[in-house]
Amino acid sequence: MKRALIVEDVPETRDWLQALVTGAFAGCEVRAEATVRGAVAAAEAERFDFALIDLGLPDGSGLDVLRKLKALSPETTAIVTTVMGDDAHIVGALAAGAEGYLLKETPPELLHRQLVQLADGIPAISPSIARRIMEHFRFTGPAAEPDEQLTGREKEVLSLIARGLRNADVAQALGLAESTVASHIKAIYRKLGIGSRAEAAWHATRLGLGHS
Amino acid sequence: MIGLRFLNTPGFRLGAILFTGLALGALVLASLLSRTPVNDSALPPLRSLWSLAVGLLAFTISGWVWALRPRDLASRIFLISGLSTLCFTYGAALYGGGAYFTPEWAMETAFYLNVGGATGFGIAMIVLFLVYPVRIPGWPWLAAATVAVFTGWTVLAVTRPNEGHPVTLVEMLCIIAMIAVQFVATRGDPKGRAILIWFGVSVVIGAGSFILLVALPNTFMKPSVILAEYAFAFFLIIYLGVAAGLRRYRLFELEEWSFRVLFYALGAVFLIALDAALIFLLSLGQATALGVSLLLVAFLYLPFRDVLFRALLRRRALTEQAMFQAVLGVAFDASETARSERWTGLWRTLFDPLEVSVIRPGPVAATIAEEGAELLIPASAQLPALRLRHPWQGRGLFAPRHQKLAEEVSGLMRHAEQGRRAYDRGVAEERVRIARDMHDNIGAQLLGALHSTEPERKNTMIRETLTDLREIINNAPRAAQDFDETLADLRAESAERLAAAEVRLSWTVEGEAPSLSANTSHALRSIVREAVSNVIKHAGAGMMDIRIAADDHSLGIVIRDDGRGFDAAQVSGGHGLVNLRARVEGLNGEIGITPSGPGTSIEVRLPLEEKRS
Repeated sequence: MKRALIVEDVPETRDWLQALVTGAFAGCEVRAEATVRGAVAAAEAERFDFALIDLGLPDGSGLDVLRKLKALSPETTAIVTTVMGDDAHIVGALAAGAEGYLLKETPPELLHRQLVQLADGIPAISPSIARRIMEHFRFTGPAAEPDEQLTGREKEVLSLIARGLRNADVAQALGLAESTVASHIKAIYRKLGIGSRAEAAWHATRLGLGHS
Repeated sequence: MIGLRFLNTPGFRLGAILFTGLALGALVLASLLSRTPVNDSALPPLRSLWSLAVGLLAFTISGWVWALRPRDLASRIFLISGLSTLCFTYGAALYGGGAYFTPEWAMETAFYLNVGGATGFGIAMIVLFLVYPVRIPGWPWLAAATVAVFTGWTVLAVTRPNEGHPVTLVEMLCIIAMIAVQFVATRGDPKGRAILIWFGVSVVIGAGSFILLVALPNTFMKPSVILAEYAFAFFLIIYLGVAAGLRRYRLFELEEWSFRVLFYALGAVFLIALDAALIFLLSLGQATALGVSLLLVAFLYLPFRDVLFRALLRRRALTEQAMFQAVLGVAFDASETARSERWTGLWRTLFDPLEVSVIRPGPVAATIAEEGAELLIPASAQLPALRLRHPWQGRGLFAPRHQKLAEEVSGLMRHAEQGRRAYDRGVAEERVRIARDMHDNIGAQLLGALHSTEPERKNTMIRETLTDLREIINNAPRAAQDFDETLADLRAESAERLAAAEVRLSWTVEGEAPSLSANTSHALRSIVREAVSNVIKHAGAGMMDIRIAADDHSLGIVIRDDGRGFDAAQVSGGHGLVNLRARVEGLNGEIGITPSGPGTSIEVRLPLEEKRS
């Protein structure tokens, strides 16, 4: 992790995140931006190993930054950092290609741990998000292509996470390596970003329109 | 008798009028053509033809109104005005405009027709405004006086033709005076007022222009500003104005079917005229001529008539979808005033009435009143009951199908209103819930953070406040929270925090509760968080055991750790344990904090059926 992009409009939080990143990855070069425009310009000019993106920015949504960034350099690990993000926003962020999301009020030592893990390719996923994703696949499942459906193992992982188990606990419960759980979660994320049709169906479900 | 009944139909009467006008016109033309022209021209002069056309049209329109309402006084007087116009225009045409050597008898006939017609027109108009739209008290005497004075004056004037006689000028002033009287008399009668303004303006402009440009100069023995025959066209303003007024204001109480009669009669006359023209001008055989005429009528006149009909009588109709949108627009507009305005606007769009007024009390259902002139709309919740008067600017009446439509719209409105009220109630309840949560949780926690002297404690409280804030926003519509979901979130959070401090978590849930009240789940979360914080900060423990047991009546929480333990009495003075105790006791629960072997044990019991003390 050599180069990081931080998109955050509150200066104190921006400095705090910057300190956290340099603490987690010694010698990491950080570029900090406060707006969608600045962030997009940065993404066009440079390549980053990972990015922390706030959702509520003064000139738009962090989701726009996320999409642009993923389009420009798919290999960048994109992480949403938010404080008030509701489930809908976070699932939307995951569908737009985010590898993870972090809550900014998390105590620093915990955030540090999550950052290191995420950067190592171990995605975290909270129970409420896992429930959302399960719901999403339950309602869009029949309409999706067969290879876009969750496998039995993935469903198992998801349901354990939904019940509050951490990756390590899931690994223990299923007798798997933690890295295997991580790759299952990555597969779930990938399938979540299955394109506009499923996304539309998901929104329809959220509005209570998609099913009876 | 049945065979003769058609003689008493509007169509027949209108046909008779048309043929009278055409026949008299033909006589005038025949007379002109039989004379020796001054020049070599074999055709009658344009001036005469123009006069004939104006007279025929005026007479036809007045005849049309009369044909439809033959027993109505106003339409009879209007017919007389049309006949008068026919007289003075045909008289002028008969004179021939100096293009012929005109025999004495024709000169005299033309003169008397012209003078008599002009006076007659004025008399007819004055008398018409005595009885229409409102009958002025004492109108029969006033009418008789008008006829007597102007007839006498005209006879006098005819005997001394070489002096200026302002008969028509005075008549015009009388007409204007009568319009003013009617204006006062139609006070409080918007429909009568609308008719008067339309009709009165037509007459003043039409006849007034002629008087100003022709009669006024002639009175002072000066040449008219434009040729009298061409100035006749101003009278067309009156009659065309009436035709348009029929459509807009239901003049003479005539409805749209009056146009059907006119178009049918015109069709018949067109057919016969065409037939005659083909026989005489092209010398076709009678059968051939009739066939050709019928074909022309079918292919030219009938489509033309339909186009005309649609253009004249089109009414705005809303599609069902547009109506639905309009009703929803009314129901969901933000303010009550705006809703009330849009509600009135909706009815204006639907029926285009001359007058919309609020009535109290309104009817229970949409009701037709005043023999179709009014439709009463029931009140709908906060929207007022309305009275719509004179639909389509007064040119139609409310029919049962309109009542049905109004009933449908009102019903739709009631449903939409109910929906909006439920929505408003939901918004209000939600606002109360957010306010209560803000006050109970966020406010109290921020206050605690503000007054806390330990920076670490301050941070923890602010973090908890943020979590609670997110909770309030996310779980908005649910007063009660799902037991499993609350526990799952709590487990994940605790495990993450403990893992960062390298403490193992053992988490056991026994039993099931369907849902937790917001207060109970908040208490549960606070208790577990507080305990986890204590273990991370003070205990130096290697593992933490959290057991949650639920049954139908209560929730038990047992939390143990293998850390250093503490003196309960000492700790109860500070930290979060005091808060814990207060929260549990506020929910009528029990809490016990005891040292247990190595570490500490906290036991909590919360009743699930909340009884606030």
